[in-house]
Amino acid sequence: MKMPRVMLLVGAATAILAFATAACGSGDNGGSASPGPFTDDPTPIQGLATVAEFPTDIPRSDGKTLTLAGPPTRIVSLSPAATEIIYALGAEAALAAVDNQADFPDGAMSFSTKVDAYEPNIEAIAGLDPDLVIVANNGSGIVEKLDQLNIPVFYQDIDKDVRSISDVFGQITLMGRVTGRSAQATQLLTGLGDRLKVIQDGVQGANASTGPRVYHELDQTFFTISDESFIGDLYRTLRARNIAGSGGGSAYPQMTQEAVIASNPAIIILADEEFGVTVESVKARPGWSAIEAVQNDRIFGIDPDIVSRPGPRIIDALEQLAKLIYPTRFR
Amino acid sequence: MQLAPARTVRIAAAPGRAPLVLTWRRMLPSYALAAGLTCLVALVAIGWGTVRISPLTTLAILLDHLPLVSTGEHAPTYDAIVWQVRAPRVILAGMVGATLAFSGAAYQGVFRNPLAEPYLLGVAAGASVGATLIIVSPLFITAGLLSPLPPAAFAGALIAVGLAYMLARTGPVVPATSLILAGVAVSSVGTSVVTYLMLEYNTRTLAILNWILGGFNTASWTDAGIALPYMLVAIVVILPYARILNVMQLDEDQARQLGVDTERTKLIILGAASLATAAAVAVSGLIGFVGLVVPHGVRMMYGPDYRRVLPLSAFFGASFLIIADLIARTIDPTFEVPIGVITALVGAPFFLFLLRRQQRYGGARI
Repeated sequence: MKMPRVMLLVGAATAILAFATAACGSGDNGGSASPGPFTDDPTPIQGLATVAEFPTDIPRSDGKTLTLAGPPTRIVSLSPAATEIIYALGAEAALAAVDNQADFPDGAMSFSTKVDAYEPNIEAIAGLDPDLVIVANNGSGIVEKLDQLNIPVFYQDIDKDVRSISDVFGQITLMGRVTGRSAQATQLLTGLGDRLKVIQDGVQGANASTGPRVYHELDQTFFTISDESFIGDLYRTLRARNIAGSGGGSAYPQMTQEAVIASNPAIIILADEEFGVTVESVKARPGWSAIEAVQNDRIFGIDPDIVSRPGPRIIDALEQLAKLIYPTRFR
Repeated sequence: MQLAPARTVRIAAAPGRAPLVLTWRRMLPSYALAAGLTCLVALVAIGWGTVRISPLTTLAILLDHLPLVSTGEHAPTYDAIVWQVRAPRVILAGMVGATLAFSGAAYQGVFRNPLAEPYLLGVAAGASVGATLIIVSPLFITAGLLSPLPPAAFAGALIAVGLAYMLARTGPVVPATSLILAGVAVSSVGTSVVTYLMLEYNTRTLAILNWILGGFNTASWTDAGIALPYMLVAIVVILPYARILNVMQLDEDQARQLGVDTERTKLIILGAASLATAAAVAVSGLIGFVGLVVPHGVRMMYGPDYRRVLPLSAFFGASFLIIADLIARTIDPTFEVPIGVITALVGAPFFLFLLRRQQRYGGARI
């Protein structure tokens, strides 16, 4: 992911420009309205909108509440999905730093400071002087550390609280409230909802209980997704049957090779091509020739970033999967 | 090898007991018992898994794959599971368990050190460096035979052991203590290289960890075929040295006086054991505990004679790892427990039980 230095410079320049624009329009709530010449003088109507939305209380996954007096202007996002949502809402000017997994949209690649999402360095984060930190996974105990430093934390656990497409939409709504861009969030959701509807209409008549069996592979040790995850909800929406079922209650269970073979999936979706797994290598796996998907050449790769991030591109993933699973219904 | 061609070796007996005279022939029943047990364990393990297949069907499928035997038609799914997934997995686990325990026993014999194990001279660390370098490189492909992972791990393991051996060498002799220290040093260097690579390429961390934790999740007949020759060579080369290993337990100087070429013996036994261990590690990752504990368990049950310890370690190592793998793949339906966790969890209490029993009732010393 190394970029030529020129591109980095261009990116940095863009980011600085974006910042300047953001400073002008920090109270801006109208999206299309261009910021006035006086930076700290929002028009009365926009001011009113700000008053109506803030202060705002956002529930957190650990049961606590995040209270924001106004829209944050120095956000550190430790969630690539949240970063994508922020960009989609046009609130990227409020971002101070993103995590090192963030690579979409292109602008997210241009941040000079990147924080490790798995082992976040509390000092590095505090040094950025953020007025909001977005956390999607508290495996490292970062939420408590930030609480101790009185840094506001938006904590929505990606495993516990994001388990369906509507949960993803809920995240977009929340992010709209946090950034003071509820109107943009509504607009974004209307567009996503329309596209979701097209898919839902397209699978009308398909019987969910006899739908195609799908195996969604996360890595070559047969970790997969269950109905408990939002990826499982994509397949549910498509009326396909995910062979891991409810996964024994685990959102991301591991299957045994023999269980995959015995489930005889009609379609295999590979989200692990970046680990070197290919359609050919799956076909060559011993014993897999007994699987319908292998016999009928119905093994497909999918961009794991699109399908595994609970952000706006989840509908892209849904559309791609729809075409792979029902080539005749969707073109 | 200038040892007198005696057919028996007298083992120092505990005070008050008659000297034990053991011949190869008198050991046959224990070999047969251990071999039978291993076969039984393997059969049960092939019949058992997350997908339920009746023992009769399993047996019929297995027999069907023997030459000249036909047991009729079987569901292709069951055939694939039993013959392509479970059987190679169980066989490979058995082979790796046998190799590790056998090599561990040989290492302990050469070093006369109860803590010696087959990873002592840097096999594990060297293999990890080799495997990790492949995983972080663009070469990382996981397509069966084409995968460059096993050869890289194998090469890494041999380079590490070779390095330790050269570093420890002073003139014509390689003192055992220097060899152990050199192995420890080479291992630390390897471990730090792997740690660095894991942090530097954090998108590949999971793949590296998966390899290091080891296991038989994706075992195939190809893997078993790759490891088999090395394992056979090690056994064929080392087994004839069992009596010489017995003599070497006295003291290196005394063994030399009795006509044992200790340097040559060390080089041959360690070389063969390391080669087999490197092959085992290349196809299964790092699996701890087996190489250290199984030989001790055998000594506690059957005494210190290497003519017993070596072959029985192989059989019991095989059974032990097959059982550990069976537990790893069946205990939790939502994920596969890393086999190293099982070998330690099951192995340690059993080992302690043997240790306590030995202390209470006396018996063979380690």
